[in-house]
Amino acid sequence: MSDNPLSDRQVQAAHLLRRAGFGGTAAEIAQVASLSHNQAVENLLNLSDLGAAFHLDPNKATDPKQVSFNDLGYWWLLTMAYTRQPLQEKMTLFWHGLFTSAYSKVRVPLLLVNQNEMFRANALGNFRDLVKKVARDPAMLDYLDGELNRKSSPNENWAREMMELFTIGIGNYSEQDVREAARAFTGWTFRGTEFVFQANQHDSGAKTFMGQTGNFDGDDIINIILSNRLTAQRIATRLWTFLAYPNPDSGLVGRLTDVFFNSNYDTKQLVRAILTAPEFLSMTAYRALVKSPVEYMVGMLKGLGISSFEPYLNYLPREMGQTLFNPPNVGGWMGGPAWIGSASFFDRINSADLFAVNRNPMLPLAYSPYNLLAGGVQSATSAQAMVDGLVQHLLDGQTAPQVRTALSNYLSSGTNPTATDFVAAANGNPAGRALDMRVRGTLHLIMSSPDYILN
Amino acid sequence: MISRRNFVKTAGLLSLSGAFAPNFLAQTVAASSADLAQGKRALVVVQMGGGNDGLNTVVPYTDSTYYNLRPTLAIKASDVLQLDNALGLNPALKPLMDLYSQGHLAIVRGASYPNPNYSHFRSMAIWQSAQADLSSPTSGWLGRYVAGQSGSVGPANLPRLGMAVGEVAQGAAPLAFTTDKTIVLSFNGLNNFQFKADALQADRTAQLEAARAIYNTVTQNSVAEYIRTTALDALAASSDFANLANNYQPAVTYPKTNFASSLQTVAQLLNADYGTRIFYVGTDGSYDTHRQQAQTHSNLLQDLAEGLGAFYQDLAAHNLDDSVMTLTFSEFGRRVAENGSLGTDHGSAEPMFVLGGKNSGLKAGLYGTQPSLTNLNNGNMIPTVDFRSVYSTVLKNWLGVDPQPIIGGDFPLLPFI
Repeated sequence: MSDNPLSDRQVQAAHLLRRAGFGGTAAEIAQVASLSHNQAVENLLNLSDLGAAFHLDPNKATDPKQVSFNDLGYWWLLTMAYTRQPLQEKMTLFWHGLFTSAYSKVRVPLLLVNQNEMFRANALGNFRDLVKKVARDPAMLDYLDGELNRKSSPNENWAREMMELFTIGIGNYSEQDVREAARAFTGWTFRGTEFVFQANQHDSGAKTFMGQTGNFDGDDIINIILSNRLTAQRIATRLWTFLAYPNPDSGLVGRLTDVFFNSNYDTKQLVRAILTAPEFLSMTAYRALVKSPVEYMVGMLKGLGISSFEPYLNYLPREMGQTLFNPPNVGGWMGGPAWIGSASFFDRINSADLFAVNRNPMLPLAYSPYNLLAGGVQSATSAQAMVDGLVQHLLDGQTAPQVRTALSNYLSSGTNPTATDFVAAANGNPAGRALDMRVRGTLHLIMSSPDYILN
Repeated sequence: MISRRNFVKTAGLLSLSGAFAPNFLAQTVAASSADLAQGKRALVVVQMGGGNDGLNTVVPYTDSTYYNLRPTLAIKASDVLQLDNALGLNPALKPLMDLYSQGHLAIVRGASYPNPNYSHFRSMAIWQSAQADLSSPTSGWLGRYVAGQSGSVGPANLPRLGMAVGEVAQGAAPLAFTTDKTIVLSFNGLNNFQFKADALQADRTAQLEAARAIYNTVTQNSVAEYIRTTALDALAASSDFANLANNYQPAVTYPKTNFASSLQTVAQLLNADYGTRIFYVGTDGSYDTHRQQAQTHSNLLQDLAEGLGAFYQDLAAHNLDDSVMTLTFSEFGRRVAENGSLGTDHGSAEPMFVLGGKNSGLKAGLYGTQPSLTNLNNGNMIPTVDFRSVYSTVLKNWLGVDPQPIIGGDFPLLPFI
């Protein structure tokens, strides 16, 4: 095995920004690299910048009826790409993938905006509070039919999925627990955008749930579920898998579970424990995840230094298999290698092609590949040097020699470009046009490589 | 609906197994598709995700218990399409009723497995893996079938033997297709199924060559190995598709649903004799009808039946009806009694449809036993047929292989083929 790339401070910084956010621009990576790892983590955990909130279009936000489903995904992608608090967005995405609600069923965009803002406000908050808020959230009450859960004949949808997917996990409750929990949540409904408790629809009788009997309401049920350490273990494991790598060993899971459970479900403490764990910077963690479509897209925007994009690009993550505000089912996105199949592979690398080619400075997606070189355009003295500079920036300088060779053979295409040629290409000189396009083709190839698709 | 953990476990084996060591590109069309397809049979598996309400699909229209327990949702006896003097199809299934009358449809009643699980994800994993006893199955029944064909078609041709089409092909192939030895194709339309190089279209060839060199670079990272082998297979399939001599014209107008469009893709690939034996297609929308079920369920069934009806007519027009069998399933049925939201909660036992041509060997009719509505387990029907009997019958009597090693047990065959 080769040495751990994560022993290098620069690589640590890029890794941290990919995991705790959506990747960094060259400047952001340099800034993080100038700090110690633990100090960088503390900065990410600090969510005091109120100016970094959700990128709602002010013209539409004042008139929610104007908000379309497409707006939601666009606003969130903008926020992910340009926020000053990337960890807040990363955790908002985690909660969205855990506590699923989908536009395919919840047809009111404003309810999904409100739910998203609730996740953002509680991004690093207390998990117990969050579950109770989710249980009262109109989008969730709509999505899992809580709004129609009445005492005469309860609807089990929320009760089952809450236990199976949102908290303690399958195998830790009985079918009887599902039915009793459903009774405890009867009468929890909403009107407009507000939670309403309908006392006359609530079953206030005794329920026997997980071995305890009482006149439980929904909050009691949640407290009983969270009093079981298995709930802390499941969420801690899932968050570790989201931020670090799958299949953590039992010792690590035990440590994380202790932190979460003993802090009464303080998410901030759990995230700090994850990001500062030695395993987070271990060889096992490096490129252990597959970028989700939004991580891939936002990562390219940041990696290439593209400073704005338009709403229509919202279709790209959808095509790659991830529609924000519309997870495929109540289980959310599977993640990991499940993002990649032969069809979604093409969707991915063709979106990389779409970003790579934009050279017209008058159009929003324009960027300069030469600005990505740490040593500036003058460092591009040959095809190999140009490839090395781009690989340094986008792949942490970590890729196989055969990959570098394939890239520089393509970039050179027999022309053996020199420093003068790259300067001409960077200046938009017509004589440099063909080389500039091959530079962009090289970026397409880099972003299509397994090394880049991994996170 | 594979779990991430299962998938990673599986993917982790890839680099060890060596099954992907060969460069598929070198043998892009090594075995001609005709070798694979001539005289062979294809299976199309249709997944109805969310848990289909079997009782409102195949309706016990003379059973008073059904009407008592379903005061708002029961299908009126006068509306059903009668299969016999006790059961009838939901009126939204008219195209399937036509196929039944013409002798092209078998219906297996009461299908499930012992101790049914009421989690979508667990039960779906059981149906896809056919391993009801494993808590985390890592391979699927169709994947195990495909892997077993390695000897007859050669390892390089395994990816094309199976294909997930349409929405189920959004990411990796479903668990049904997974093993540690196979990655089958997923395909969602030709439009984007190609390597694009807009930077300089003229040097797409050069970019593609570089891409292949990159994807041929073996790594130490098991997930990277999964990605690059998927990439190589995708590039190979893409060039195959571009080269397929294809005179296919649909003989019918398919409905405007993703499901029907996926079936049309299947018909097109079958017509082109590409060599895929097993197709996996999902219906649109969700059958998870916890609330206000009546209209939603009727629409879902209509999409299902119209899609299958068009597909069958198209196959028949291309003389493919006798070489294609289609099988439907859902992860579970629904509770016998409706809930207070004009819907139904998760339940057990459901009918499966099997569709095939006149000379395919399919024997139309009703199979299995309709579960009792009075002898219930906690409000749920007691299943009468193990779905692995249905799979075993298809494997043995349609695909001509021994089901035992694939299904992992001896399940009695049903006489529908």
